[in-house]
Amino acid sequence: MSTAAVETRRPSRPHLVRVAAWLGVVGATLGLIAGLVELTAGAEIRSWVGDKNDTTRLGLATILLALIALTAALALLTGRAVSPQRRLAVAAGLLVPGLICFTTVGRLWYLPGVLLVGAGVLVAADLRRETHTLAASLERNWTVLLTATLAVFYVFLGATALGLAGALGVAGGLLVLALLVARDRRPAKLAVPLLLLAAIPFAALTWWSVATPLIGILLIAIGISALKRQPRSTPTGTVEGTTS
Amino acid sequence: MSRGRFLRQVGLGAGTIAVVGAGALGYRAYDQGVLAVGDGPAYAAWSRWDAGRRLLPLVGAATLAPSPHNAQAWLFGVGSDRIDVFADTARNTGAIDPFRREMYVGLGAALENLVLAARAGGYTPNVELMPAGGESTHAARVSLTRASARRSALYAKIPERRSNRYPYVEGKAVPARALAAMAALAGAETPDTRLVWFSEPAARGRVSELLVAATEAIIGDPDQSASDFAWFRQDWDALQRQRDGITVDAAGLPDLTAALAKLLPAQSESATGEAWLKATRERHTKTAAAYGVVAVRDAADNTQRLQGGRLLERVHLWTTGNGLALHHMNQLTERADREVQLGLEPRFGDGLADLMPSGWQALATFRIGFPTETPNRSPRRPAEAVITR
Repeated sequence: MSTAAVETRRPSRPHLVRVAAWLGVVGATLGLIAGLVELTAGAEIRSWVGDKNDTTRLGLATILLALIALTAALALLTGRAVSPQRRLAVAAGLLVPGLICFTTVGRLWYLPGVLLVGAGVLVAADLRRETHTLAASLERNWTVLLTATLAVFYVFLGATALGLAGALGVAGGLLVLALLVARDRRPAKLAVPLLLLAAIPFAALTWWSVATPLIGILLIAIGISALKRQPRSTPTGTVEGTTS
Repeated sequence: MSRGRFLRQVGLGAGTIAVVGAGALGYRAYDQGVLAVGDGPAYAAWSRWDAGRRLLPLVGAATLAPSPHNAQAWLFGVGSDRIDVFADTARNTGAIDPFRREMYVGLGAALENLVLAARAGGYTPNVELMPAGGESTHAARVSLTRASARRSALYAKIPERRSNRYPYVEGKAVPARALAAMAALAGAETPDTRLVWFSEPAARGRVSELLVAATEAIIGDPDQSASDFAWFRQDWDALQRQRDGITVDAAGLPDLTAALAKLLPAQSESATGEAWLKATRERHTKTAAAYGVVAVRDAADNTQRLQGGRLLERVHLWTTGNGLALHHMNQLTERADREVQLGLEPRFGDGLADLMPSGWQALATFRIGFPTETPNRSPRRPAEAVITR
């Protein structure tokens, strides 16, 4: 790959991105602390945690989302998120937890939320010059993104469901995510059977909920297309993942 | 743009819209607790009722009793060797229960659980009803002295008891010996009370007709309809916060219908009333194997109401332990009291009087039968929330 090609994959304003990374690290760390406070003292400070009744689940969800944001921020800080696609993923990893927790957590999230959303906006702003590259990449991987989104829905709904059905929902969603991550490294014949194994049990056990069967059907319909092995060439003819 | 590329983009767009729609539906399912039936703080009292120190488990047992519209109109004063039971009149059910008949029946049911739990906890309870007079809100004083623990079969069923609003097995009669065993539960602790059964088809048909007509009359009465609707909890967060009232999950609906009812926008008062009438006509009365009426000498007397409530709870616990289902259906007495309150022609008052043996008045009505489904729990406030200083 040419030097010019490598240059286009780096942040155009590295100082801005570094500031975003530190904002993200601080915001995510404060978010983790907020989650721990919800878990341990949430019941005594309900007005600070969005008046939520179940502060245990709220605390666990906050910690999980803060960990996602921390992973994204650290990837940015350590320079592992160089390509525009990865920086877009980092922006989503900062913005989505930041915004979701604003809708549920309450006053404890105000400071970490502002820092995470601010960091996400800075990373996204740095990507403005690379919209064409990103648009092409997004179009090529859109079914993968949709499948991953549906898998996250499965994990989320599984976590709120009870007993065996809930466990199957979480396991099914995680299996689909694992299949997507490893889609070029596992035997092609296994993809569809594993997808069915991941999607059907939770939907079948909770068929009456309407939501899970619908998500399960979409997971299978879109997932089959997403799990097909794709040629790795980019529209410009360069090959991803070989930058040295 | 090529045709192939256009079609691909249309497909991706449609897929995206479908995923966004599924996400919105999934969030609604989460927000309304569709997959968390019977879970959360509103239901914690069912599993933690016997936790806590000293006399708290006795109050915990009392809070698992049934109450009109699940209003839980009770408060408990806990001393070192006694528990006082009070009516929480602020939690009345309005025009549904204009003379607070049901409120005191519910307090009687709570009192019965408390007495059973006292014996199981190693106390001999001495119950004094209406210690401050017949019109007082001080319903009972239970004095406790130490004794050996006696765990009765009825006590063991306290956490398993549910009001079963599902259809019952059609055509399967309740054996006469079971009806006799329940009638025998009226004993020395509940004088002036008895059970009256309507198990033969003709008598059952007469009660069914009256129940359907009374339900129609209630939903046609704006005040009664509004009072009924006020205790209907359709919002999962409100339910978890308030921990009382009638819920979709405990309404005896098929799983799919219940899920749709929670996913769709909240029902209006009139739609809720129509659904109740339909259930009464097509499921509740159609599949009742028998109706029971708790009768007392004077249904206006709070002491007898409390005694009737104790008997009613014993019957409910007995059915729980013997594979039967029970559903409280008080439309007849609710309507009869309303007629008196408004000076209306006593259609249901006379109907009830015709059904009762001479010298007895109907206090509370229910149906029994063999269950087709296991009912879900109703929300409950924990013992700590109903203790008054």
